[in-house]
Amino acid sequence: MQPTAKCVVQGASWTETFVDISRDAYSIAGVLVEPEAAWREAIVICGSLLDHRKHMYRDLAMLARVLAQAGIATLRFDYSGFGESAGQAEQADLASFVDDAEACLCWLRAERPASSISCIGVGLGAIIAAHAVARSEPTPLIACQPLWQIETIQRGPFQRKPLYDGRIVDVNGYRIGQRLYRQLTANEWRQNFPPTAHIGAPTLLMHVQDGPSADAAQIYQELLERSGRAVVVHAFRAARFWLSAELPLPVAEVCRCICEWLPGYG
Amino acid sequence: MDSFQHEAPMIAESRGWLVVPSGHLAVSTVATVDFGGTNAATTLRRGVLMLPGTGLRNGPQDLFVLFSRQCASWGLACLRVDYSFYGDSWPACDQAMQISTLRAEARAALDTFQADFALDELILLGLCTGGEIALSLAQEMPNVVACVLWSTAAVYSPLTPAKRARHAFTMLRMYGRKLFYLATWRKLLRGGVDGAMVRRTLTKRQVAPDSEKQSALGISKRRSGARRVPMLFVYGERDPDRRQAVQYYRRLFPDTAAITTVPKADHNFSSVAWATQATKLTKEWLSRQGLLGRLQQETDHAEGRYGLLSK
Repeated sequence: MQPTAKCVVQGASWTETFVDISRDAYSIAGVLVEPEAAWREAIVICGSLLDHRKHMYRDLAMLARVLAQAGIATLRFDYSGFGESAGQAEQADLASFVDDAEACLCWLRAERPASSISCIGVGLGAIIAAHAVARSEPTPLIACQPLWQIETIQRGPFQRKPLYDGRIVDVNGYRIGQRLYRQLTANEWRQNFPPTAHIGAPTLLMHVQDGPSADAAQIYQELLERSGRAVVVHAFRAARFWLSAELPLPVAEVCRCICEWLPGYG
Repeated sequence: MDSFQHEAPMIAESRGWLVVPSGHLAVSTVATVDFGGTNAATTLRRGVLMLPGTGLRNGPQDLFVLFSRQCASWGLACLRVDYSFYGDSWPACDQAMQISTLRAEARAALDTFQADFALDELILLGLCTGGEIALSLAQEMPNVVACVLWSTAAVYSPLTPAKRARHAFTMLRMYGRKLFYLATWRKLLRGGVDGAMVRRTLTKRQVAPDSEKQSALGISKRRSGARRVPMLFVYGERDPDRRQAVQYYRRLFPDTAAITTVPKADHNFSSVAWATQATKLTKEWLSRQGLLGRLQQETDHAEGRYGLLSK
């Protein structure tokens, strides 16, 4: 099928292209959304995991388009072993997710060497994004509703207990490795956080005021500040709070915050 | 058996947009690199259109992604599609939520898929609402040779008191669980709970009468009798709509419907074992219908590569 890659909608326009980013032996499925005009700002979006990723998928797609209207390009991607990316879900762990995010940052830098690149992490992706930016050159970090543990996103009323089956764990139908499950449940992600970061690179932390993820955001902020990293916090009010981690992202507000905060924007 | 037969087939995946009147639909295709085979002239080219319910083209727990890769290894090309307002698609109008619009989008995707891959035969696989759309399309597409319908509710299902009570019970259970959240109590103490919304949720009625849906999809016993497409219905045992749907489709398609149940499974087969069972039943049924390609025997060992059937 020969796709039409360009989407032009209601006067505002952007180009949305499906890209395959090579990483070791396989490729990561990504979506590059570019403003029609020449752009210098770009953001790599690290989404969340498992069902949380699924619930936030549409919100992140819309966020990418709203950012494109504001002149900022974005690259979204599926972690290896999940979504449409290649790789084995059983072998994935925090390190492989960070490698994926880093590969995306490198790919974008190679595509547009002159651009200024930031990284945004949503939910569990906020932890991944923090690790990824620590590995590369100073990169602004945006964390949105950070989460630490799988329970936070798996505690909805329709969720079941994870099933163990030898080397894999079945989390609501997602087949993940023991190692990743341990990392997601035993607070392993917090033990080495924050990673050795470029102190000079700023961080914007956005979370829902009084929402169930507010505690996680507080811990995230404290850990980053303890390492000497400057954190700007924006707490937004949510119209609905019942679904906790599955809150719809207030896309327009998130976009406005990012545009106001991004060091090189405007 | 020589070493060639132990190699997993090369699978090519591509993604893009399909322009339809209601917007830009995001689509993904999966096929073996030598789709059609070396003797393509004498081999029927078959494709599977995977229709999700109202969700991502990946299906629940990426089930469609994994199953489409398996299908490709069996010699079937696959197309997954996001309806407008879902996934990566972009709507151009606000009509997309109507079932007739979803159906039109699925039809457009099917036509393009058929033309681009020069398909001789089509298999429709739908989950939930996607199953209803698949049934509807099967009635008018002469080259649809089989329908696989996962967790497809009866298109005509009047809202019974039992169904309403079940909905209220589910919602009550959800609210009960939320009473254990600190944030819930904070909200309650601040008077921020929208009582009217809670009441509406508990007493919710169906948004659109199913008879309208039936009319939009054009499914009727008379029309269904005209084309005898083999159908496989797969339900989770704990799917709340299963009992009614089974009775309905047995009555509607007495000769062509094979109906099977995955023990203990829910609507979305949200466990690896349940998903494995559902796909295994589907594969066995497709095989019995003679619809799996020449690669089937050669690539059974490759199933583990994509996770679902490795156990």
